[in-house]
Parts: sequence; C-alpha cells; structure tokens
Amino acid sequence: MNALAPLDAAELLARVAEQISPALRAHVVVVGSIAAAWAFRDVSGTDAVATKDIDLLLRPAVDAVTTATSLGRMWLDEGWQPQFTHGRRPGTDATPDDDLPALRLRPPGDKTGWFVELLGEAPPDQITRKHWRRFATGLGAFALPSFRYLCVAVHRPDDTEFGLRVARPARMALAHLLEHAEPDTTPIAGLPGQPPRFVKDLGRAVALWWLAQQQSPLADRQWLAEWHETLSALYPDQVALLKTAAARGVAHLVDHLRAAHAIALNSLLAAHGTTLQAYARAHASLGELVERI
Amino acid sequence: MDLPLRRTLHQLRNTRDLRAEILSLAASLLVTRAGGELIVTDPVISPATVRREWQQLLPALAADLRGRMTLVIEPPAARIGEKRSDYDIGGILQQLQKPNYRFEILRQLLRADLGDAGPQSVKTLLDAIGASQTPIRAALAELIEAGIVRRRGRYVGVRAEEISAELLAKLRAAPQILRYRFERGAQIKPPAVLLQRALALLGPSAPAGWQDLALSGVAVARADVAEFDLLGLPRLDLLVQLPRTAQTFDPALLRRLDDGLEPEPSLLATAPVVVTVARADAALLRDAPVDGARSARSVDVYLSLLEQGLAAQALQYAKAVRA
Repeated sequence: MNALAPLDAAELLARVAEQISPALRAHVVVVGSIAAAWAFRDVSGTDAVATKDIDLLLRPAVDAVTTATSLGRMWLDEGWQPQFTHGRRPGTDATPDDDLPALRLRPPGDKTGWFVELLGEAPPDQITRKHWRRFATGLGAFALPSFRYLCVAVHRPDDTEFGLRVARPARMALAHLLEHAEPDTTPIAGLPGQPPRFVKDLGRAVALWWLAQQQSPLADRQWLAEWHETLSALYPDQVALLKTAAARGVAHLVDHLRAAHAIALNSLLAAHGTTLQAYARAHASLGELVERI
Repeated sequence: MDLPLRRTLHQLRNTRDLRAEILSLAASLLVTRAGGELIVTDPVISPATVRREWQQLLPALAADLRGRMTLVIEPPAARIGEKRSDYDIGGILQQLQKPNYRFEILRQLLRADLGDAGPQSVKTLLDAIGASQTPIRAALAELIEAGIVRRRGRYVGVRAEEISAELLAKLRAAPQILRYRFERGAQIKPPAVLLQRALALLGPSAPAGWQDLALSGVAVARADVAEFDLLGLPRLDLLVQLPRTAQTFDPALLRRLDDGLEPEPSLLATAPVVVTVARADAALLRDAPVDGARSARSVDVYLSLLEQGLAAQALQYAKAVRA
C-alpha cells in the first residue's frame, strides 16, 4: 500500500497537466481519487487526497494505444521512472497481453511520490470486465487496461483551468455499481486482509455519495439527472436493465460494509472520519437513489 | 381513550440520555391523560442499569405522571448475515404529542397582536385552528382564567409583551419542540453552515417532506429587523406545520441538513437544530420568503426567540415588526 500523505488536488492536477502537451490533453480524462478530490474541493478537508496514484484514462478507445505509446515514450525519454507491482516487468513479444504490466510512471525530481497510471477507454464491443491492449515503449511492452464501464465514468467530464478534464463523482459511482453487478472477487493484494475488488470499488461509490451529500443537500437531484443523462446517451435501449444492474451492485455490499468503510477511511474519507453508522446510511440511501432512476 | 405516547431509545449508551428521555416523556404527559411508554431497544448499557435508573428517577415525578409511565426493554432483533448492531441506520419515527390548543390559541392571538389586528373573535380562532369547538373553548377558558388572554365582549386578545417562555411553560401552553444534536463521531457543522443548507431546501422546489418546513428564529428576525440586537446564529430554528391528526415526525428529513443529526432527548441540552411543531389548519407562512426560503411569520419567530431565552431581543423584534 502506498504511503498516505495528503496532496493538494489542484496542485496535483496542475503538475500533471504541465507534463502533457496541450494537443494530448484533449485525449485524457482524470478519474479516481484525484478526480473526487477535485470535485469535492469545497467540502472541508477533501481538497487533499491521501493517495498518490493518478489514473489517466485515454480516449477515444480507437486512439488510446497510440496516445499511450506517445505519452509513455515522451515521459520515459524525460526520465520518468516506471513503477512495478507484484514483480511484473516490461514484457517481450512472447509475453501474453494479460501478463504485461500497466504503465505507471513517477516524474523525475518529485519528492511527493505521486505517479500516473494509464488506462484506456473500452472499445464499444468490449464484453469482458477488463481487457488489456499491448503497447511498446523503449523499456519493453506494457499493457493498457480497459474496464467495461469506464465510459460511464468519463462521460461529459468537467473542464478544469489546467486544460485537463476530470470525471464527475456521480458517473464514477455509477460506473462502479455497474461494473460490480456481478462482483469481481479478485483479492486486492495491496490492502490489509486482501478484500475482494468489489468491496473497494462499491465502497468507493458509497463514499462518493456520502461526500456529495456533504457538498449539497440536494445532491440526489444532481446525481439522478447525471445518471439519467449518461445512461440515455450511452445505453438508450438498456436503461431499465442497467438500473437493475446498479441496484445489484449496491446490494452486493450489504454484508461487507465494515470492510468497505475501513478502506474508505484510508482514502476518500480520510479527512472526515465518517462513522460506520453514517456510512451505512449512505449505503442505504444510495440504494434508494438507484431505485429512483 | 387517548393513544399512549411512545418514545423509543435505540442502543442506549448512557444513563444521561435515559434520564433526559424519562423527563421528556413526563413533560409530554402533562398535556394529555394518555399513558406513556418508554421503549429501550437493544441497549448498549445493561438492562439492569436501565431498570435501576428508571426506579431511581420515577419517585421524583408526580404520582399522576409516574403512574401512567411504563418501561419496556427489548432485546436486539435477530438479524440475518453480518452483525450490524453497531451501525443501526435509524428509521425510528418521533412521536408527536396531541395538538396543544392553549399554544395554538396564543399563537393566533399573538399573530393578531404583532400584526396590529387587535383582539379576535372566537369564531376566527376556531376557523384558524380548525379543531372542534369543545377543546378550543376549554383551552381558551383556561387561558382567560389564568389572566393571560383578555376578553372584550366577543373578542379575545393578548399582548406579546406579556408572554414569556416561563409563562408558556407554567400554563402548559408551550409548543412541542423537537431538538436535534450531532451524533457521536459526526462532524459538527456550525449553525451558519446549516442555515445555508436549509436555504437550499426551503426554496420553491423543496424536496419531499420539506414543503411543511419553514425557516424561523434568529435568521428570520435578522432579515426582518436590520438593527436586530444579536450577532451570529446560536442555532437553526425551523417551524413545521403538520396536520392535527399527524402522530409521527420522520427525523430522517433533518438528515438532509446534515447526515449526523439525530434527535436530542434532553430538554435542557443546547441543540444546534430546533424544530417547533405547529398544528393549526391555517398555515402561517410568509407570502414573501426570506432569502428565497419559505419562512415563518413574525409570531413564530417571536416565540422561537422567547424559547431560546432571547427575551430582550424578542421584545425588540415585536416592537420593530409592529412599526
């Protein structure tokens, strides 16, 4: 697990944007913790993030590999340092795509320890939960992971003053709910107790919803409007089906709230000390919100 | 026969809350002949401690009251799956007292007084409150006998300056007041922040349940009277206008203000959010909202100032709104 030192969201976004040419910024959407910290920067304590990985989604899907290749080469040439987990190293022509590492790079000379991780928008025909696409760098081959419902998370992102676009919390939460309608039970090796992936992701959806309610007493209207718009735009013929899927996602967490809460307290909710009781209420009301889609 | 009043304490953690709830229940029984039941569900402290506290405190109450009070201790209900006893998510409704017609009469007469409308006919009172004649006439007779309401022929009236919080309590003419505190572990928001959130909820497109609520207290007084003599906002005051037949109030409504708000059982503890319950048929809300938010009229603002001990400011307010 990464050392958890709070970093300022705006400062991080500015630093990342500096490292991406203006031409490429249009193809990048920031997702994950930093996107949440940015969206909730007006909620006391949430402007700082207790995470150091900055997830950059590259799009459109058809150009994602090309963009990853350009960014990877440019950053490696500038002396960025690759980060490897689980003993994975850059692959060769013989390495299967699924065994390739994702490209995680730390900028040279930065002492705060943040790094970027590249993700790709899923191709429209992707059915599997996760798909790896190979791309080459001077160090060897890496893979660009694509998650099935990340297109939901990055639909109509917010513009920022830094030229980067940032995913909105309501859509990130919906993406998690849809992704785990059939829960991904893969253990997360980097977390204590190695909880299943769905506990972390669905728990994050609950944390985002709790923060949204802190930000506005009318958050439910905003989230519902965004969910309606997103589902209607991306899946116009499947709204009812996906509503049911999202409800299943919420339900899967019901017996794992304690674990999800513990994970959230070390990430998105680190500054808030949200009680388990409040977290459980947020889970219940998130379920009610899904029912209102 | 009157329905019994029921109060529920879920996962009681200390005797302080228990004592406060016992006293609160006793106070509620002053205005009714009904019995009162205190239900303690799944207490964190031992049932023996709950019973001992009950037995120690009850002798301090009037015999008429304690004779009508009962204690019920319920064990935790069997739950399926993960044990969740330490994060119950609530859902318990708050019991409402029967309408207090002494209060409703004084409220109507105070409204007339502050609006310089003078004494009111009994028929006007009956129409505004909406209840049957018998209980209203009985309550009016008691207020006249107490000397607080003055009769002039067929008309009755009060002077705002002659009303005090102590007098209302003594005459059992105080409204039901629901208090809310921050639950343990919740991040505390100052009243000014709660006010900003309330303004969003009290606009023209209020969410479900909030159409019955209105802003009251110091926030409205300050908007009404520029020279109002109080800096800061000591608490957030709301008024809820409920039908006379309503028996419960859902405290989950208040969670829109802040997720950490829960009912405060103590009548004496300082509460960051206070909701006054009004039960008359005629809704006394502003035609023109304050800061875009639905707001209580001056009579309820005046009463809320009195209730929170701001007697001098209440008098200043009354004088200013009459002018």
